[in-house]
Amino acid sequence: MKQRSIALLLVILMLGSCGNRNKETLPVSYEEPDPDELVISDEAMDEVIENIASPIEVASLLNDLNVPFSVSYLADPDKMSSYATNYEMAYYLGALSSDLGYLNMYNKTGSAINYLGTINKLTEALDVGQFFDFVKMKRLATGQNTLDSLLFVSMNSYNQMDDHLKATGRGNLSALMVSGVWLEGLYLATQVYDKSEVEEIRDVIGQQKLILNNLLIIMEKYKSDDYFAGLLADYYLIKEQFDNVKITYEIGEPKTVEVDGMLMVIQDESSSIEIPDETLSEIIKVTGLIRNKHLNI
Amino acid sequence: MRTFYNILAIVMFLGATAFLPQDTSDEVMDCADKAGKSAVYLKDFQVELPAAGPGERPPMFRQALVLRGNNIYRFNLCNKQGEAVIRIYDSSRMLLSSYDAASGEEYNPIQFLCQKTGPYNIVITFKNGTSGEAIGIMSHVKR
Repeated sequence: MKQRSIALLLVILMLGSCGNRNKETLPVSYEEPDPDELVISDEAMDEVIENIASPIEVASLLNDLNVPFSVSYLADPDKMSSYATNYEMAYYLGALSSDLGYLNMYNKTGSAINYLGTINKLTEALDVGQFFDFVKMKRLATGQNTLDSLLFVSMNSYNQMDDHLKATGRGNLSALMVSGVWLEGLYLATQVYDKSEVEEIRDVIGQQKLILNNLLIIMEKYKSDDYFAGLLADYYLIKEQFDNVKITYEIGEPKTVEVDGMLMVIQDESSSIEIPDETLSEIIKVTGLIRNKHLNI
Repeated sequence: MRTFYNILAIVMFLGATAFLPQDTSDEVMDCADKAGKSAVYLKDFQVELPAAGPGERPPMFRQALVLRGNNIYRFNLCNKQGEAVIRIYDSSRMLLSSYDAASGEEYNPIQFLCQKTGPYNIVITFKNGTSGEAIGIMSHVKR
C-alpha cells in the first residue's frame, strides 16, 4: 500500500510539473516597443542582422520575370575542393548555395545532384554537416512533386548552418558564406541583364548598392585577417562602381489592400535608381572578374 | 515492489520524452506550409517569451533583417501558446502589424510589398503581455 502511494505521488508530481506554464493574463496594456530599442548599430550588425544575402531571392525574381534558365551562369562545383582552407570552403559554400537556389527555383533539380554532392563535402569539412541532410535532399531532388519540400529543406539547412556558425564563435565563416551568396547572386543578375537587358533586373542590380554597404560593414570586422583583407579589397572594387549609382526615395504613407483574401501592406515610397550605362557595364565586368577569381574559374 | 519499479520506469520514460524537443525543422515546415500558395520559405523565427511583470512593457523578440525593394514578403504565425503578433518597422516607424488592437482584427498571414531595400526590424510580442511560444515564417511571394 505504501509503495503504491509513493508511485502515485511520483506520477502526480511529474504530470503536474509538465503543465507548469504561466498562462494568466497580466494587467499589462498592449504597447509597442520603444523605438530606441530598434536601432541597429554598425558594431552589432553582424550579430543581429539577417537575410543580407539570400540564396533564392534573386533567382526567384528572375523566375518571376520568365527569364530563361542557363547553366552557363553557374559555378563549377568540381573546382571547389574540400581540401581548401576553411575560409575558402565557407565562401564556396555560400556561392554554391546560391547556385542551388537558382537550380531549384527553375526546377532543374536533376542538375542539382552534382551541387548537392559538393555542398555535402564542404558542410562536413566545416563541421556543419549535421544541418545538411544529403540523403533527404538527393531524394527530394530526384522525386516527383517534391520541389516545394526541396526549396524548404535547402533554405532551412542554409539558415541553420549560418545560425550554428555564429553560435559557435565562427562569425567570420558566416560572413564569408554570406559574401559568397551575395556575389553569386549579383553575378547571376548581371549576366542575365547583359544578355536580356530587362529593366527590372537593372533595378535589382542598382539596389545591391545598399546591400553591399551592409555587407562591407560585416566584412570589415575581420579585415585584420589576410584572407578577408584580400576579399575586401576586391569587394571595394565593386563598391567603387556602385558609388556612381544614385538611389533616391520619396517618403509616403503605407497603404493596405486586400489581395486574394489576404491583407497586403504596400510601402508607398517611390524610389528612383539611376545607373549610368558606363557604370553598369563596369559593374558587370568587375563582378565577373572578382567572382571568377574567388571561385577558381 | 516490482510494480513500483515498473510504474517508476514508465513515469521516468514519460517524463524524459516529454522534454525531448520535437524536430524543430518539422514544426517549422508545418508552419511554412500554412503560408499558402506562391510562398517560398525564407526564414523562421522561433519565439518563446516570458510574461511581462506588472507595469512592464511586453517582452519582445526582435530580428533585424534586410528586405529587398520590389519584393512581396508574406509573414505567418503558428501559435503554440499565447497569441503572437508580428510587426515590421523601418528605421523610424511601424509599417505593418498582424493585429489591429482597435478593431481586434487579426491578419495571419499578412503580406508586405517592400519598395525600399534596406534593414528592417521584425518584432514579435504576445497579446496582453502573456508568456507565449510561437513560430513566425517569412516567405517570398512569387508573382
